[in-house]
Amino acid sequence: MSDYARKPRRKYCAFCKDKAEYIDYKDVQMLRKFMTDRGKIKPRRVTGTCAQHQHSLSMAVKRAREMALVPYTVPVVSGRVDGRGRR
Amino acid sequence: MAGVVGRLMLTKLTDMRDVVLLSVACIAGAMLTPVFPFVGIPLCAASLGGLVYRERSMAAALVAIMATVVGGWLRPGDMVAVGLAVLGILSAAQRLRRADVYQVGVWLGVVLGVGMAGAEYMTARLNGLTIREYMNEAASQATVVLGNRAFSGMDVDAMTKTMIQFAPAVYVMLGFAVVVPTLYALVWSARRADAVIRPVPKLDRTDLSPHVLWPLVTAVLLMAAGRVWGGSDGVLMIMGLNLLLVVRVALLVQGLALVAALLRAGGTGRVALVIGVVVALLVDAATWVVSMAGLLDFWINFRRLDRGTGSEGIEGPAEGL
Repeated sequence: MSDYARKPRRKYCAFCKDKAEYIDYKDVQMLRKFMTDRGKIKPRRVTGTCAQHQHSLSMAVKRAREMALVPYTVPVVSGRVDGRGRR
Repeated sequence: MAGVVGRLMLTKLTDMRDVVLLSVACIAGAMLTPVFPFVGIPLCAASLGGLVYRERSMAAALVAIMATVVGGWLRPGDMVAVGLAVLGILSAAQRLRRADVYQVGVWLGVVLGVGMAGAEYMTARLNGLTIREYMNEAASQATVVLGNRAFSGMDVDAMTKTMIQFAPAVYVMLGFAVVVPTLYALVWSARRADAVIRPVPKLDRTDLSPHVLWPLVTAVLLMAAGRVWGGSDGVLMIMGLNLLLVVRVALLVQGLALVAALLRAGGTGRVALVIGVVVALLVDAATWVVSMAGLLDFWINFRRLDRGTGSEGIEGPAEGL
């Protein structure tokens, strides 16, 4: 590793840090932090969420999707114009 | 003598005294249940919960059977109500250790409602009456006691028809009304026995599951179908209206929780909170407004409830490498 490489920051569960007992499906701003631009739930290997809170988080996101508070998917049109781009 | 009995029961003397007192209280609650269900059922819950949370499950089961027998002996028609009530309380006490309090409440409310309806049916049958005749008699007595004007000038036959049509919703709502003190009684008994169970949230922190909306959708669909196929007195329309009445109570509870949270956030005291809740319950227009606010509360995060012990909120994921 070169001297200039950034040291990896240790990940932690943001919910455990805040001692959250319940993840609210109505807190859309918070839920969006744990979702990708396409509307998918980010994996816990990326966010550092513990297994228990990842389960609660996924339930909250699914409930928010049912209530139409967050989208199921966000269609992204590819920038390629040759017709071979994925849509 | 008492020590010998105590050793035979493999229990300490103080425990035995508690068991006897709780058993007597449970049987007294069962005797009160047919007349004053709002007192009798919570009393049964406090005593049976005390036995269950002191790990005396066998004693609790025996006391539950005795309570059912005594309740049935006093008023045979109410044996179903008492039996289902003690059965529901026993299972609720066990389930409160792990299950969500709202799930336990819904289940217990339905059990108690079915028990009350079953008691009315049994009483009518034991008196040799059909349900219609029994309700007709009740409507006549209500008219005599309260006067015809109390029922918007309806005659006895119309009142009987309305009572039969909306009986399911009324019994379920009565069941849910009894559930609240029953759950508090169970929590109290658990605290006395140093048992760990799921807590019952305060009114301003009550937040019902959005699954409450599915019965609302079903009710609207049933009423729409009833409008097309059955008319205003059809089975579909009546089922939809019954469901709507029950859901309205849930929406009212959510709305009252919202009102309580807003009042608390505004720094008002407990007296103002009680006055606000009473006004919301008694004034018809206020009930509608509060129910609609409860409906909106399923989408809009009015209260921004703090879910943990921290107060700063979730910062977001700690995304590293």
